[in-house]
Amino acid sequence: MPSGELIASYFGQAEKPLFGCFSGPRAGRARSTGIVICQPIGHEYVNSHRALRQLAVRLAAIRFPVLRFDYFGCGDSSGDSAEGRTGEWIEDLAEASSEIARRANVTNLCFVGLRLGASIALLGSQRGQTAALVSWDPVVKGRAYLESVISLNQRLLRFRPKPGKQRRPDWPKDIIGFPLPRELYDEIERIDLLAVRNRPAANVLIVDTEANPDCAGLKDTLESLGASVTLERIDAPPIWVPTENGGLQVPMNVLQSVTAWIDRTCP
Amino acid sequence: MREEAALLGHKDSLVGIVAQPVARHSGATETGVVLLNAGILHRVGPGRIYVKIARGLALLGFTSLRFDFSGIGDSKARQDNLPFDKSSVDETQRAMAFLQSKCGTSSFILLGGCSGARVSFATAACDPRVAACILINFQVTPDDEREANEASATRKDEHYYLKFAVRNSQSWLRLFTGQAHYRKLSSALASALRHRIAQRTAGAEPPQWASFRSELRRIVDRGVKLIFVCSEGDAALDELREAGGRELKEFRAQNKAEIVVVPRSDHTFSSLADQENLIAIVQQKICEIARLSPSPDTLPKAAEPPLESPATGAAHVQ
Repeated sequence: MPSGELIASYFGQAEKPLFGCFSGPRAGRARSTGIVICQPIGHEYVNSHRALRQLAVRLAAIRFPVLRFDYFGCGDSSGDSAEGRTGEWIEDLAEASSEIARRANVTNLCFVGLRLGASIALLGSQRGQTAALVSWDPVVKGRAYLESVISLNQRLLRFRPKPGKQRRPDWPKDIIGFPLPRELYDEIERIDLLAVRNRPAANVLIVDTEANPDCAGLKDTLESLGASVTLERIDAPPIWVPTENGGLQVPMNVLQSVTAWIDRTCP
Repeated sequence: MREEAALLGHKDSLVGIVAQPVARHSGATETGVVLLNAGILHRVGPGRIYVKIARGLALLGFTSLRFDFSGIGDSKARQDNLPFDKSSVDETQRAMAFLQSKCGTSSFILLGGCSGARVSFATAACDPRVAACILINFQVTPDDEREANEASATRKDEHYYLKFAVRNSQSWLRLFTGQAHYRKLSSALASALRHRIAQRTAGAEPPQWASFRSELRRIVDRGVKLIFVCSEGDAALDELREAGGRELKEFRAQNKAEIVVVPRSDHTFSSLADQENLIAIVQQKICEIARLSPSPDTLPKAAEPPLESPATGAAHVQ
């Protein structure tokens, strides 16, 4: 394994390479759980990149191998922004899991997801290989998520020059400069984490910074499936929302809670 | 087109992505494009627009590098105390050296939005490898050099209300039906009033303006082509025109500098239409600089033509 350095590289299938940043401790000192960080999508991805990078740095500092990666059609990965689909992103997570196993000698996996990344992590964990799962402000119900991003886009549009009168097609929808095609909209609309049937992981941490009642519902659902679930309500800003001055927010208290929980829970 | 992750700079501490054409076009091979962070957003840029620009350029035959300055995105923070205005120029020069050794590009077009535009400008002033700059929403006076009480959000609001809302019937309807954002509106109007009073009483122009013109002259005299691409909805456009004064007008008339205004766009090109217009302009300008004549169907077309012609400043559209 590489010695405590960051490795930025493409991995996965040659026809649709995915970009990832791997960081790991020095050879021989690594812990046996590999952490895969699942980022949100669209404008939420751009706004939360800094915080998730900081999280990776903190986890690597306590000797976990960590992989942050971009889904197909997102970030530096191949594909147009309108091409990504949730089903494909769950496959990308499986690819990222293989990649971290290839790079580090891990025996367990922990997925950490933010917003839609948390939903993808949870749905991707249904395959049974995940020992621990961190859901940071998960999108529990896709419909509510779609309503919130469309409403945010309209709010932001109010205080900027209005787009030209040229007729644009109804689809893809334009969400703060990211295309939301019909197929992806339908897939997200169908997301309902309260309806999952399998235990995603033995240990789950749900971080709720929005006092979202669905998080309590998710805790009940996962406990009924036999998972040990911790729900932490933390006072922190919604880092995925654009700020007025263009700044990016890094909520240290959330990073500290997540890091401490993983440190306690994962070998 | 192929993309490759790269570590570059001092101790390979900077992370970047090189995009290269599969087949090289004659004329484009020696000109590399380096894309510089827009503010603190990492190298994909707002709306992933840097990815789209880099991929589009690769299809036209250009090699590009988009990377993160130290402390931004995936790049490590520097351990020295070099201020950003110095470290960013140093890292841009290292990025050019990297692309030169890797891909053989010997001259460069620097492209950056917001603070990335300022870094492009500063690098062009000191490095002979820079052939041209695409300066997107260049700020003559950056936000961190303004008075503390003049928030950038208020300046944006002032620009929006005075340039756009005043011509929008929906805005007037909201004003008279109790639905306007009165606090935002009043602070924007107060800011506009403060500016008018300051302009009348101060007499002298801000010190940044004179140094901008002197740098501008130095860069243009070295034969570097400067293309200022401005969002119509961005507050920096007015200051650019005022600060550039006679010199900028003269350089535009001589076709040594251009101002291209992207209609109805905002600072971060936060709609797909804005992005399509910006990409079309960038690709067209870069092909012109490299004297490349791609077939018309390989260049994307702007849905709306830019608002200002390069030399005369006359409006293209009604």
